[in-house]
Amino acid sequence: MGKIRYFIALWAAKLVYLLLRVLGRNATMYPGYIALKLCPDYLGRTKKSPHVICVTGTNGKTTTTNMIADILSECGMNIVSNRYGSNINTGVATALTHSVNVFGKPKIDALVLEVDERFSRLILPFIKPDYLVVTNLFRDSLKRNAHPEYIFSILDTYVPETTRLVLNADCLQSSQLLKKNERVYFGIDRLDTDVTECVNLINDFSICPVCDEKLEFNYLRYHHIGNAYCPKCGFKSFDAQYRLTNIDYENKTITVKHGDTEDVYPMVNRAIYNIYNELAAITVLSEFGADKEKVMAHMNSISVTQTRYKELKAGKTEVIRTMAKGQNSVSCSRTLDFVGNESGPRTVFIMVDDLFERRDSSEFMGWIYDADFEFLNSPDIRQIVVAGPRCFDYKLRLRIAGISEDVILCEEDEFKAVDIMDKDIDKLYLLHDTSTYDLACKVEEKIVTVFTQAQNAKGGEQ
Amino acid sequence: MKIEVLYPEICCLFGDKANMRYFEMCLPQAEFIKTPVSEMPRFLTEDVDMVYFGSCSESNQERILSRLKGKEDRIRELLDKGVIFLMTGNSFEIMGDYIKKPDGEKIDALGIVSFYAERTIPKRNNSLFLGKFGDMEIVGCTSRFSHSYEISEGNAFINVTKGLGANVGCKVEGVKHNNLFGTYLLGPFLVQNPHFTKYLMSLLGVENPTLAFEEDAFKAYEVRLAEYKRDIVFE
Repeated sequence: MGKIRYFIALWAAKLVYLLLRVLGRNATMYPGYIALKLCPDYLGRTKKSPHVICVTGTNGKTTTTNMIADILSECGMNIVSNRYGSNINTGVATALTHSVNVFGKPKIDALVLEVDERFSRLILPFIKPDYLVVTNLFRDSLKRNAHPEYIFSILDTYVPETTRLVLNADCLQSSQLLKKNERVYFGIDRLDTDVTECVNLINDFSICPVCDEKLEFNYLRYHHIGNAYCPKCGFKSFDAQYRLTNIDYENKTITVKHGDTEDVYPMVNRAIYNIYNELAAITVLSEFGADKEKVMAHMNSISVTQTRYKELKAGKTEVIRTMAKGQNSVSCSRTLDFVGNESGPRTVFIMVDDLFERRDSSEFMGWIYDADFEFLNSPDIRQIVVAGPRCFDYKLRLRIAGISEDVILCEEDEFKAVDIMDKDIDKLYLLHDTSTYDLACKVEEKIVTVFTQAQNAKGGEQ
Repeated sequence: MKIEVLYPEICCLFGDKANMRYFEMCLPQAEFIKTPVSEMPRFLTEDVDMVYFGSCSESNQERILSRLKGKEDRIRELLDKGVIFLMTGNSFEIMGDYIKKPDGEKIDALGIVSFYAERTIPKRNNSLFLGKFGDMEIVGCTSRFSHSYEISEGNAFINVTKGLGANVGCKVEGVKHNNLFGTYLLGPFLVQNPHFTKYLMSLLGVENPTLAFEEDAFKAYEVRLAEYKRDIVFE
């Protein structure tokens, strides 16, 4: 009976997929939804591909999954990934549907799946991945993810014992996961920019989990990312088997040491959090047995998806549109740190309101007090535009961060903000949330038009 | 004026740290003591004017309880003297009689105020909140794995106008006992409620209190208040 139910679900999901595609829809979630409705144990019943790699964690899941999937494809493997779809159980069920033929036989070489950490309990026990990459664990949306300990407990409970883990040795939180599982760690050696006392507002792993003593850091990169030890009881960070020993920003390369071998890879993106994502991908690909030369060669052609990072020109102004996930204080802080550390006179345009909540509710703004807006307190930042319905909250937040009122432009309408902001600037950083991506693209279009016109008019006058 | 911030390294979820950061800006003359979890609270051996606790994880809540068990008489003594205890998020649950876990186990709490809490893990209870404390309109948000029950009328902090109270359907939110103010509202409670912040400052003896960035704080508050009074989704 179960087998019949499974095949009905599989065929229904494939049919729904075809119909939705004919209608021009993405069909990344609904086929899986139908499959799970008809056959609740669909994930467990679907025959798995020869290799299954999953990626979870608070930040960097999408980028890391895409890198792994792209490189395995470039290496000639036939893979299915949920890169354009949902990372919850329905999205994974849709991906599984694509991985088998109508007779339920696997038709691909490998499944590469991004898995939402909160939904992992509904996914990982059933698909039993060969490898699970955990990029990191931080605090995230309080309504969905509560706090890091809660997410840690889900992963610690539901990841199968047979899964080999690829963990970030520098993330004090996620590196403690599932001590019984086989594992390999990756990490970045001390950098010149590292510190030993936390400069962020939030460090969710500052006390020893064994004896409550304040941890000491050999080096601390951001939040709880670093290398720590307890001066009282001997607790310490794990050693990494894959160590990034050098970052060459000039030549855009990174050096990774594994055992006695050091290899130089192209740097996909210069932001440190993306370097972690690349290192995670290199580690799992190496463990998986991917051809190192091919990985190196294909890393050259990888780029961070344009929905997350894009550079363009608006007249003489260089516009950098980058994601700063709203309601995710750590992800947003990484972007604020990146923007704050850039050089030269610049403007920052912040539009990270949650577009879904603003439709019929009101966003809870507590997270902005965990995000390091203090990084924007720099004399080179000439104007900070806070736009959208929550702009008054952002203005107050910036004032508490010590930023002068003269620097802040507060405007509820994002498009009107473009009209009235200063246009004589070399660089403009446009920060948006995942939910405001489409809106940010429209604002970006207006910036290009208005800035170009304003600068041309000024040039004409001169 | 001495204000003790207890265990800021673990009682700091959801933006709660902003409360004392902002209060420090409002009260530059006050001494703020931040006591880490590895040390005993200063209020046990010194006179303080105010104690603050922020939101914490469930395991840290139990860790804090184990630190404070046996210190109930001193807490009662301070409350009788009028010392302010401000507790945001789930932190005030430690002041009740017990906390019941989903498996039925009861954790003895401090028994300072008569009520109990019950955890609902993994069900997360999220809600915007609008209520009244005296003639002050209070705005905020709650997001928690628990509810509180059997809060007497005399021990209720805020009357619910809209949103989730102490438990589903409850018309009061949080506890008040002398100058103990415990609320499930979390995050930057004082930043978002300028009237209440001024009220606390006056309780501390500040005459004609003025907030840091007062105009901006009131503007953000008024925009939020007007929004919450409209027909928007609260839960």
